Amino acid sequence: MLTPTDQELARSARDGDKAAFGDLVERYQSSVFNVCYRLLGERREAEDLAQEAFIRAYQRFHLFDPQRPFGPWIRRVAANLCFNHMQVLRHASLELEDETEEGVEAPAQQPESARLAAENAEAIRKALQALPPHYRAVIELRHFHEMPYSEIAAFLKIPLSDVKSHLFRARHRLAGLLRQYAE
Amino acid sequence: MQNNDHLSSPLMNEYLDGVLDSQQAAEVESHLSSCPACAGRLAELRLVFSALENLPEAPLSRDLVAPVLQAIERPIGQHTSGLPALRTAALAQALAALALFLLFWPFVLQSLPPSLFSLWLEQMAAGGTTALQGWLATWAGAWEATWQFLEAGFETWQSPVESFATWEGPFIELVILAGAGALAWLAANGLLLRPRRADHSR
Repeated sequence: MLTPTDQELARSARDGDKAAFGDLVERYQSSVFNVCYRLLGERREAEDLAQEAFIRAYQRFHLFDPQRPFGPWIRRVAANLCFNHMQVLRHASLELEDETEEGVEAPAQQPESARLAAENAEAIRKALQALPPHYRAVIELRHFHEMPYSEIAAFLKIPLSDVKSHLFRARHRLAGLLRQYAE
Repeated sequence: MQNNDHLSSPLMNEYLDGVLDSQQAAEVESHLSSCPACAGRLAELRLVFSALENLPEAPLSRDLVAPVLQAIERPIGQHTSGLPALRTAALAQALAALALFLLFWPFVLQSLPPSLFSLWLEQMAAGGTTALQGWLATWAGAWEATWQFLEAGFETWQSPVESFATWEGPFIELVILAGAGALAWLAANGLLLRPRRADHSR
């Protein structure tokens, strides 16, 4: 039996087949979760918002064109949801950077290379979380969604000059943080 | 573009983003081949790009399929904002409240301070002999009494404290009834207990 394509699943889901939508969730839940995790830095919060992103996507699914790739679309829905959430958190004056993180427990014995890779990944995530939300947003959209500058500007509703400014400064700050963590 | 014979940060970023035209890119590469300082800065910037591109995906600690499917309640395309249902419920409640108010106003009037109660009694005395006539007369009389009260208005107004200090009506019962009614309304409208947003089954 051939595995249905995303387009076929999306068409079925749009016609009311919830199981088809469930299959799409299964395929993309990890990548959607990672969008949220990179932006929010807190695992449970990221899982909650990833779940919420799929629910909202389903509610708007009658507007989705099945010819479009589902993955980039749902990841953008998740990113948008996270940006709104980050704005709420900023207004509530929560300190995202200081949150202690309950990571997934590493296996008791890991090869050295795997351990170093995990530490490296942790350092990058820590550096991302140390960025202000608007820097984190442009980094996410440019590096993980491969959006051109103009599309980032439209998505975030900010001028193109601000996109460039935020992006270049964010990278500069990340370089300094990664250097600092490596010492 | 260049600042003191070195490449500017925006130019380096745009070069790595691949948004420069071929001539600009060639100029950057030509400069980099002869400027160790800029080459070093570019290498550091490349490390950031590389670190982000190679960031592994973190694993999910729970499956999202089941809770998402549970949360999906309506077929796709159906209006999901809930606003029409809310408007209908609010209208029905408003009409019910208005009907109750109109029907039971005479009895409320009975429970109000003595100045109004006496007016109500006068109207009752003018009512008919049958229960229905009595009720109709009571109802009409109560409204007439109310209108007279409003017309009298500020001239005969007695402060609520004074009124209730001498009031012998079923005040406690009214308070209990009003409180129970408010609780019932809140519970019926789902405002008393807020459901949790996500079901964390860990």
